[in-house]
Amino acid sequence: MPNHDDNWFDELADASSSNDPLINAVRHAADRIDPSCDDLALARLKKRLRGEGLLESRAQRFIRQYSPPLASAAVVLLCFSVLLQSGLISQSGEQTSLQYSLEPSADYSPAGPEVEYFDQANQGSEEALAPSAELYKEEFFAAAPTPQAAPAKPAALSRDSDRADKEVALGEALRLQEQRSKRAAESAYRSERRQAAEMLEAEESEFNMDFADDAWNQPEPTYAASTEAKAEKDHSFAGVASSKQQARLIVELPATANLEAFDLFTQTIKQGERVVQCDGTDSCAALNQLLSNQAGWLPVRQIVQPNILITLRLLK
Amino acid sequence: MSTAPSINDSEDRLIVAMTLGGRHAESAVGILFSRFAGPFKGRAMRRGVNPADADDVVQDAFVKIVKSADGFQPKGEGSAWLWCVFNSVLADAQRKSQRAPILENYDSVPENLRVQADGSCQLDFQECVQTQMNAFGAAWPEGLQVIMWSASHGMKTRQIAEIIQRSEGATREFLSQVRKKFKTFVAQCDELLD
Repeated sequence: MPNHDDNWFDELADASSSNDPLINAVRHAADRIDPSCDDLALARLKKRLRGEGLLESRAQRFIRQYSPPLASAAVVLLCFSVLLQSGLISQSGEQTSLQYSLEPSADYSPAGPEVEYFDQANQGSEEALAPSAELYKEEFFAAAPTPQAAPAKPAALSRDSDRADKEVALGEALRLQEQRSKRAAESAYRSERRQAAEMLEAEESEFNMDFADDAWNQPEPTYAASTEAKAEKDHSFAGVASSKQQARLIVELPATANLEAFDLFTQTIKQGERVVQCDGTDSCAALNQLLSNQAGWLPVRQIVQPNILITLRLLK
Repeated sequence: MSTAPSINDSEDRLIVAMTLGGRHAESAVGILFSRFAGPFKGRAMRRGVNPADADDVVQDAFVKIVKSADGFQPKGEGSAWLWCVFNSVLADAQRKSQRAPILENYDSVPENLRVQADGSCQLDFQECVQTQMNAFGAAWPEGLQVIMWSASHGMKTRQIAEIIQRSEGATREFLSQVRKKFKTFVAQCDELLD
C-alpha cells in the first residue's frame, strides 16, 4: 500500500498517469460506479427544453417574446397608412376637425375670427384675414413675435415647428375664448344688476322727483346746477336733461286723500292727478303743510323750494 | 462562440454555448448531459433517491442549468458550477419528497462508519477497490462523492471547497479525513496487489 499523504487528492485529480496503484484503481472504479448516460433520458430532456423554449435561438426568443406587440403595431400602422392614403386622415383634415371643434356659437362673434386667423395663418394666407381677425392677432401676439417674424427653418423642421406653433396658438385661442366667455358672462351679470338697480332707483326717483324738460320758469341757478349734475351722473336721463329742466315731484297720495284741498295750487288737472306748483316761500310752506297733513311722510325738504312742479297722484 | 460545441470543449465553453440557443445550445446540452448525467444520477442514488426519481432530478437539474446559464461567469470552474446547481436541485427534491434525510456532513467522519465485510471472492485488486468504494459510498456518501469529484472530474481542493461551500482549509481537513477513512476500507485489498 503506497503512502497517502496530504496531496493524495491532488494526485488523484491530476490527469497524468500515476504510479500509485490505488489511485489508478480508484480512477478506474470511479468511472464505473456512476451509471452511464441514458440516451432516452437525453431525448426526454431535449424535448422538455424545446417545449419550454429554452433551446430557441436569441432571434427566435425575441420574435416569440415581442411578436404580439409587434403584430399589433404593424396592424395599427397598416390601418393608419390605409386611412392616410384614402384621404380620411390628412394634415388638412386635421385642421378641419380642429376648426370644427372650435366652431363658435352664433351669439359669440370673437371666436370666429380667432379660429379663422389661426387656420389661415397656418396656411400662409393672412391676406384674407378679416379686420376683426387682425385685431385679435394683434391682441394675441402683442408681446410675442408674429409668425412672420420667426426665423426661417428647414422645411422638415418648419413643419414640426408650425405644428407646435399651431398647437400653442390654439391653446392660446381657447384660453382667450374662455376668458372672453367669462368676461361676457360677468358683463351680462353686471349689466343686469345695474339695470335692476336703475329700475329701483328710477322707481324711487319717480316717486320722489322726476326730471323732465319743461318750458316753465327757469330754475334757480343753484338748483338747476344740482339737477344737471344729477342728470349727468345718471346716464339714464342723459338724453333728456337740459338747462330748462323743471323740478317735478310726483306725490302719490292715499285714495282717501282729498285732492280738492289743493285747489289753490292746482295748475293742471288730469284724470286722477293734479299738478301743483309753489312759486313762493309762503305758498310752498302752505303746500308742504297740506301734503304733510294728507300723506304724513312727504319729503318736506324738496317741496319747500319754489318752482317745483308737483304732481299729486291719487292711488287707486 | 461562433463554432459549434465539440465533445472536447471545457464545461465553461459548453455552458456559454447554451446561452446562445439554437443548434449550439442543443449540442452543448447533449455533451454536458453525456458527461454529467451519470455522475448526477449516481450521486442522487447514493443520497437515497431511487433510480426513477433520480432521472427526474437529473432532468430538473439540467433544465435549471440551461435556465441559469445566462448568469454563469466563465472562469474555469464550470464543472463546480454544474455540481452546485445539481446539489441545489437534489436538496430541493429531497426536501419535497421527505423520503430521505438530508445528511450532508462534510465536516467530520460519521460515528457509525464501519468497514463492511464483503463475502464475495475478489479476483483482483481493481475489483476489490471498486467493491470497497461502493461500500464506502453506502456508508458515507459525501466521502465517496469527493473521491468521485477528484477521480472522475479532476477537481482540486479549491473546486471541491466551492461545491461543498466550505473554506479551502476546512475542505483540506475534510479530504484528509476522507482519505484516512477510505484507506481503512481498501486496506483489505492490499493483499491482492502483486
